[in-house]
Amino acid sequence: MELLDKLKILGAAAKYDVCAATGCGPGGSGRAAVPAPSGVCHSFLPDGRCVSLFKVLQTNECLKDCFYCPNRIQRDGPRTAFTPDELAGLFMEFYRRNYVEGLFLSSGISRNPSHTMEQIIKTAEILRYKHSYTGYIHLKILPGAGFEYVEQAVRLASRVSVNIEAPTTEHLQKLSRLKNFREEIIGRMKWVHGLQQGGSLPAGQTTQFIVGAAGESDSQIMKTTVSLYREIGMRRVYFSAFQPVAGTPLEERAPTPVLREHRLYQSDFLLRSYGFSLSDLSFDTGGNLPLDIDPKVNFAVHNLHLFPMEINRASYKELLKVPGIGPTSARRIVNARRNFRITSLDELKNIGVVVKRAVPFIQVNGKYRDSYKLVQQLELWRESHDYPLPDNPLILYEGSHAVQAP
Amino acid sequence: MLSRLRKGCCLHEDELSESILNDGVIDVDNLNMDDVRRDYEKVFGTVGWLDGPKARSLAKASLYSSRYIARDRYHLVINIMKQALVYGPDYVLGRVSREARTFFNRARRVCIEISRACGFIRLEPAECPAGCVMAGRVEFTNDISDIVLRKLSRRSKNAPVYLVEKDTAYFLSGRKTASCHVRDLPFDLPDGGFSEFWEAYYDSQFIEGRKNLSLARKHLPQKCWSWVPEGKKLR
Repeated sequence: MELLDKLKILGAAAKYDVCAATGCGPGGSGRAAVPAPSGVCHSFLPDGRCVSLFKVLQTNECLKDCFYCPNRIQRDGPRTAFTPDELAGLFMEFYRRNYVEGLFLSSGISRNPSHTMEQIIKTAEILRYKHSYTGYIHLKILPGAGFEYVEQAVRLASRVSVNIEAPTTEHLQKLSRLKNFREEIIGRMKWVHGLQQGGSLPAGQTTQFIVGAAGESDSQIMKTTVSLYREIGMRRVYFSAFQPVAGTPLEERAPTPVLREHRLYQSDFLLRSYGFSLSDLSFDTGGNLPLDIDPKVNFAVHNLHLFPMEINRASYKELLKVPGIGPTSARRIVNARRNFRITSLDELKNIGVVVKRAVPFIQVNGKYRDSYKLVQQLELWRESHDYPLPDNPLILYEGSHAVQAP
Repeated sequence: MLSRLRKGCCLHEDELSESILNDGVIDVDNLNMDDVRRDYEKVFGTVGWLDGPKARSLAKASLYSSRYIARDRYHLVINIMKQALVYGPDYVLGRVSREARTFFNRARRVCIEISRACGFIRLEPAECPAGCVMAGRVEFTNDISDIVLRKLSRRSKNAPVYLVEKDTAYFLSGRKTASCHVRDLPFDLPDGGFSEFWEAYYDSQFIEGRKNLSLARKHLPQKCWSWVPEGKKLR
């Protein structure tokens, strides 16, 4: 098969995997590159996703039977594989022309996990040693890969990932009869966690959930996410909204709304960067995050006793709980008020606060905004049925905490 | 001023006449950091923050803001420096004043253009007598050709990078940025023969169920479409 045809097939086979950094800094002398806070994007797809890495499979032949996967063993379709030399050469051509910033290499399992891991590692070795490439390489650890292969992948890559796919054993069983949650997935993650203690793997370990394929709830996903951060030192958890693929057992299932994926990412950021805990997140009766309200506004509406917050007195941690204030603007507020008292909303706007969102929950220099507008805004945010009913709304009076309307 | 000290921008005589010290013309090529600090301290008291990370952040923002194409770009930088000296660096870094907000917005726009340029410029190999070089066509709104050239050169260690903007080619000569007319280049500009592979890969990555053209156009604006082979697909 021609190289161009292989590229079309193996590129398309990798497109559902979103477990990737969006960029990386230049590698130092002999060191692998680490992800930069704001990566360089080399293109954007018609679906709005950034292209910064050359994301491709080593092979799309696979022994596994994952019900959602286009590469599952029972599905008909052309099967092919790159040789390590072909793939390394093709990547370098893309890289030197500035089409991509790094490599994301995943694979189906051809013959057995060891054979495929060997091919993946050989590709990475050619890049590192033959082409002296010091940039970003993300390698996928295949379920069932032996310890020696995991060790080599950790040595060569900037980041590795094992896809968890579902939050529990029971949910994974609904997606695959051949994958073992505890040993093949969590076990490999623990190996990587142990191996990276030695200082290798500068961009850490990541994983990905397929959201909505196994009937799991958001609360179950977030609970597992928190354990992954705490116990396995996961750097990032990614969420991929399930999209049905023709010719798979789940082809009739409705696609998961992308908004659900978005709400999970928002909650994930609240946990990682805003000092929120799992108990701060509010789920509906089905255990899902409400789609019609931002999780942070949801928290604020459920905790009105914490507000309004005086901008000139609130601590950094308290400011992070206010909708419309993020880590950057909270830091700027705390720094600016050392020498200067914030007295107007315009100043907050200049600082970077999203005033429209923040204004119902803050006091600026003892002043509070017109309560009528606030009630309107709160009512707008309270469309979901699990909030207080509109005939008994919570009203924020000027300069006071929330009280029940008479 | 900080930006000049960080070798980021050059101030002209008429702009310096409005500078902080207001003492007429200053020879900017012979500025000495200690002299400047002494002069500042006479007027504004202690300015110990000039040695710290806040001064570095401010200097970096001044560099980018001074590259923004606007008539008042240097005047704004000078005003911001004055505010930093009078109210402290946190006042400016926190974007409290309208000028500070404009200053950082300009710096941000320049940074965005640099980031987009580093991402969307496509280089092609070309052969010249001295060996292989990488060349790419560009079109900048702000004055960033040297910054982008340096960034791309760091990435392409084995082949010198040439950026061609209209009829002018920019390249690194030693550690300095040099330019020449396109007709004087020692090679013919390549025609982008590899784009077939890129288009095949690009087409393979799109998920139909998530189509969101407006989001794609927001990130890859129309003015960059001519830079990349896939630009026509976003029309």
